[in-house]
This record gives sequence, structure tokens and C-alpha cells, in this order.
Amino acid sequence: MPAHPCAVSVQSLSKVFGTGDHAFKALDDVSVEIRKNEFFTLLGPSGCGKTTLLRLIAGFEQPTSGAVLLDGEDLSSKPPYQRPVNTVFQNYALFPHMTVAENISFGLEMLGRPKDQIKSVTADMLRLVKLEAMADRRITQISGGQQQRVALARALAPKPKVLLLDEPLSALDLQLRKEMQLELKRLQTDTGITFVFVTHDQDEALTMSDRIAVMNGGEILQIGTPREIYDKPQHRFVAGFIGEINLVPVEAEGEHDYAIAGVGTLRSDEASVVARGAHAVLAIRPERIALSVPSEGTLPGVVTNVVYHGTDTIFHVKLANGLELRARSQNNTARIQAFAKGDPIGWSVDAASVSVLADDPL
Amino acid sequence: MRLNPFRSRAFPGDARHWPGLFTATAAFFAYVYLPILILIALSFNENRTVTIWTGFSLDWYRMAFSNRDIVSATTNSLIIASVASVSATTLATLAALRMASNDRFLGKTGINAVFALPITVPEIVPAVATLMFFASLGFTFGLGTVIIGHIVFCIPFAYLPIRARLEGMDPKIGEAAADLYANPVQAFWRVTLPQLVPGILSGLVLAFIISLDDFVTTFFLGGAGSTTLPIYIFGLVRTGVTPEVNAISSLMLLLSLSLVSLSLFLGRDQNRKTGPD
Repeated sequence: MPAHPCAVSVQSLSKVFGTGDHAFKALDDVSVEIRKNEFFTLLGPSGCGKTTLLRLIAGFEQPTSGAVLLDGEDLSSKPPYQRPVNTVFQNYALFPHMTVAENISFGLEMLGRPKDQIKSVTADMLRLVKLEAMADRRITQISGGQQQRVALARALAPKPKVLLLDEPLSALDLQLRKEMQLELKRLQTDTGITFVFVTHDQDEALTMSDRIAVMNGGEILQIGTPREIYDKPQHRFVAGFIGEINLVPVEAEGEHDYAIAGVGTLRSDEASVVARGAHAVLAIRPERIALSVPSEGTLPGVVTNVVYHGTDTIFHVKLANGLELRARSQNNTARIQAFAKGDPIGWSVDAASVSVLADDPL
Repeated sequence: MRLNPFRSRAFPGDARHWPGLFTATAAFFAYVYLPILILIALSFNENRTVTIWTGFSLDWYRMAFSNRDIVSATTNSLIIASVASVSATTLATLAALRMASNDRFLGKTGINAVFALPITVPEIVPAVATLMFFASLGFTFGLGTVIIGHIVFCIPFAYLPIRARLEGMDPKIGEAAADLYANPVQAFWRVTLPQLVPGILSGLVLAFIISLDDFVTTFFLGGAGSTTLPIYIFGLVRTGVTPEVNAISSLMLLLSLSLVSLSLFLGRDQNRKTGPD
């Protein structure tokens, strides 16, 4: 039998909460293949369905329609305690009446593993999350960051095929969160377990993931590597949700040329998603816009505001048609920026940095 | 002018600075506790006349312990309170578990509202009603009928702390147990029940004390051989207060205080942060 390339296969999954007038479609016909040993992130705003998808994989909710396959096996009929997946909960949901070590060994005990194995795996896990000294502490006697690591160790101890993480870092302060991002990535690489990570934090998603699925309104809008999601958004929501972006309404002139009414023409490497003459939207990251003195090959604009951010400076550039662009320029010299408020300038964007989106509503 | 940094900072609505607060508080505590303190003091009084102090003595305690009626009333009280509180707490635990689950069923809201109702109903009403009910069924009044009556009015007292404890528990903990391969039975014994213990103990102690202290229901549903301490004391007082009554009352107070202290000790918040590292 061939090995299944994907760990989790989500097939046309829908979930409706409530009935009648109060029905809420949390997931709308979602399909996704999560590969083995992958750090896969579900990214989206609250209420987008990402946590519902995670809970359906864990078995805490039953789908309205569709199926979840794990290594090719349909999980639909299995309750959570028979699914070889473990969850790291948002607020950890540690057992307050048990010690750190008892929490970690709980899953192994329930699986009926032999005593010596439970002992050695628990010791390994304590070492993995650097909590050896805390083994006999009560959950309430350790810090939030340590609780987070216990939750992680508890979920990893039974060696699940897939580890589900529901915004596990959201309760930590910024400093600790940055540390844990690297820690999680290290754990994923070390254990080789497939991670499905839910977050609304784009920064977390970009730095940790192998692939990201951006969700909104119960649907997956785009799946790709962090670079694809950031550089080549295929949807206005994806473009707007991740990082800052300029959305420029244009009209397709040719396969790669787009006219900005009253301003000029921009080129994109991407083949047009719309017919000649039709409306489209160009998505351009602020840091990809190059500013210069007005000259041949640049488009005209006027600086309306200069915002200094330390590492970089944001220029607000008003175009002849009234549209305002933001251009980010890195402050890689201490020299004073050449442009001031009111200066006419020229701007240009490399054709590789221009994404073309259909002009559909958000 | 007097300078008082606290007073000057107080706002008019701050009850801590209302005039006469200290006096009123002192009067309140005196009113509640002074009679009890006097009763305890007089239980050690040597003199037979309750109001005249002549010297310290343990005679009344000795007499109480050697009085067979008192011993038998105490035994009855303890039997009734034990059986009633354990039964009521068991039933209350099951009810609380069912009512705390977040699924909905027909009449759940109604049942929830009716649960605490017995606490607000004047005790005499169910007592008389139960008396007539048991009489029409032809029951023989005695320990059995008293115990049934006590179980009934103890249930809400046991139910409330258990329910409160359940509501304070993280609902995700149950999911975490299931996620870690615990089937529903294992999850209950290993995760839910251990966390519920403080609530169950509070409920048990509360039910025990309420039962121990009960007069009305016992009086109506009791029969030959089911005299409890409150009933016995009531009988004694009718023929005049003796220091013996003071001694028994003091002992009941001591028992109640020990039980409450025990329940507070066992139910103390073990989740309280005792400081990191």
C-alpha cells in the first residue's frame, strides 16, 4: 500500500451551528490537504472558521457534511478519545489537580502504555520543553510560559500523528511569544510531527509555517507558502489581511499592462486575470515602491505626508486621480530623506512585485 | 481643624466613612455572638441556677454524657444527619453534573429554577405536606420518615456549592481529557470528580449541619424513638433551662464549627498561586 502523502485530508467539510433563523455557517465546503511533517497554519480573523476546522479534526464537533481523513482513514465515526491527534488548547486546559509530570503522562496512561515507558517518555518530554526541575510542581505554581510548555509536552507525549494548536501563544506577552515561536518551530522539526496551527496573527503565520491557509467567512481563500501568500496574494482579502498593501484600481490594457486612470501605466509579470478593458486591482506592497525625482519611466505623484518609524519611513504619495499610495523606504543611511511634504516625486514598481487581482468585492 | 488624610480622600458614597459605622458594627457582632458566648460560659458554671456564677465546673458535661436520653438523641441526630447528607449529596452531585452539561433539554431552565426553591419555601409547608402524604400512605413515623424528609430538604443545600464548583471549572478540561484518550468514564473519575471534590465536601458539610440543626421537619415526621438533639433540647427547655442544655448546645456548636473548619480546610483553593519558582 502506498504511503499517503498527506497526513490530514479535509474533504468538502461544512459545519452549520444552530438551526433556522439562527443558523450560522461556520465552515462552507472547505477542502484542504495537509502534508506529512508539515507546519500548516490556518490564518484568519476571529469567526473565520479556523478554530471550527481544528475542532472538527480533533472530533470535538461533528461536521454537518464532508469528512476528515487521517492517513487515508475516515475519522468521522471516531470520538475524540479514539483519534490519534492531540490538541494544545488556547488557554492550555491543563488539569489543575495534577502535577506537571502527571499532566504530561496522562495521555500515555489512558493509552495503557507500560509504566516504565510512561516514565521514560514523560522524562523525555520534560527535557524537551526544559521543565525537568518543575516535574512535581502543581500547574498553579508555574508561570504562564511554563504552563504553555506543559500543554505542549502533554499533547506531544502520546506521539500523535497530528498536533493541533489553537492559538497557543495568544495568552503570552510579546517577548515570550517571540521565543515560543522559535521553540515551536524547533519542536516541530525535532519531532517530525505534523502541526496544524491556528492563529489570527499574520506575523506568527509568516515566520513559523511551511504553508498557510488564509480563511475568511468559513472559506479557505488561498493556500500557499508564506512567501506566496505575502508576495502573490490571489484575493483582495488575503492581500489586505497580511501586511500592509496598496490596492490600485486599474483597467487592463494588455496582457501585462494596466492603466491607472489619469496617472499612467504599470506592468506586472503576472498574466492578467481579466480581459482587456476590464477592471482589475493591483496589489503592491509599500516596500516595493521605489521613489525618485520625477523622470522618464516613473509615474508622477506628490508627497502628502512623511511618517518616520525609526527603521523605515513611510511616504504618503497622492496620485493625480486622488488615490493615495504608501511607500516604505528603509532608513539604511543616516542621511536625511530627500523628499519632504509637498514635493512632486516619481515612483515605480518592479513588474515582479505587482499582483493582479480580480476587481471583486471583499 | 483635624487633618485626616484618609477622610479627606474619601468620597461621600464611600460606606467606610459613614458616621456611626463602628458603633453599628460592634452592636451587630455583640447582638449575634454575645448570647452564644454567655451560653458557653454558663455551661461551665458550677451553680444549678443558670444566672448565678459560682465557679468553674465540668459537671454539666459529665451529666450530659451520662444521660441516656441525651446519648440516644445524639446518636439519632448523627445517624439522620449522616444518612441524609450522604444521600442528598450523592443525588445533588448527579443532578449538578447533568444540569451543568451545556446541552439543552426540554424544561432545563425550569428545573434549574425549581432546584433552589425548597430553600425559600417555609419549612413548615413541606413538613406538614409530607406528614399528610406519609400518613395517607400508612407509613410508620420514625427514623426512616425523618431521614427521607431530611434528604429532601438537604438536596438544594448540597446542590448549590457543587453546581458553583462545576461552573467554575474550565469546560475545555473535559475536552482535554477526551483529546488525551480518556473515555467518558475515565474522564469523569480522573479529571472531573477530583476537581469537584471541594464542592462535594462543602455540600456534604452544609447538608450535615442543616440536618443536624433541623427542628420543624423532624418534629412533624418523627415518631417513637426518633428524638433528635434539637427536639430533646426543646423538650428540656419547656421544663426550665438547665446548665445541661448549655453543655449540649456548646457541644453542638463545637461540632458545627469543626465541620465547617474541616470543609474550609479540605476545600481551600489548591489552585491558588503560591508564587512562581
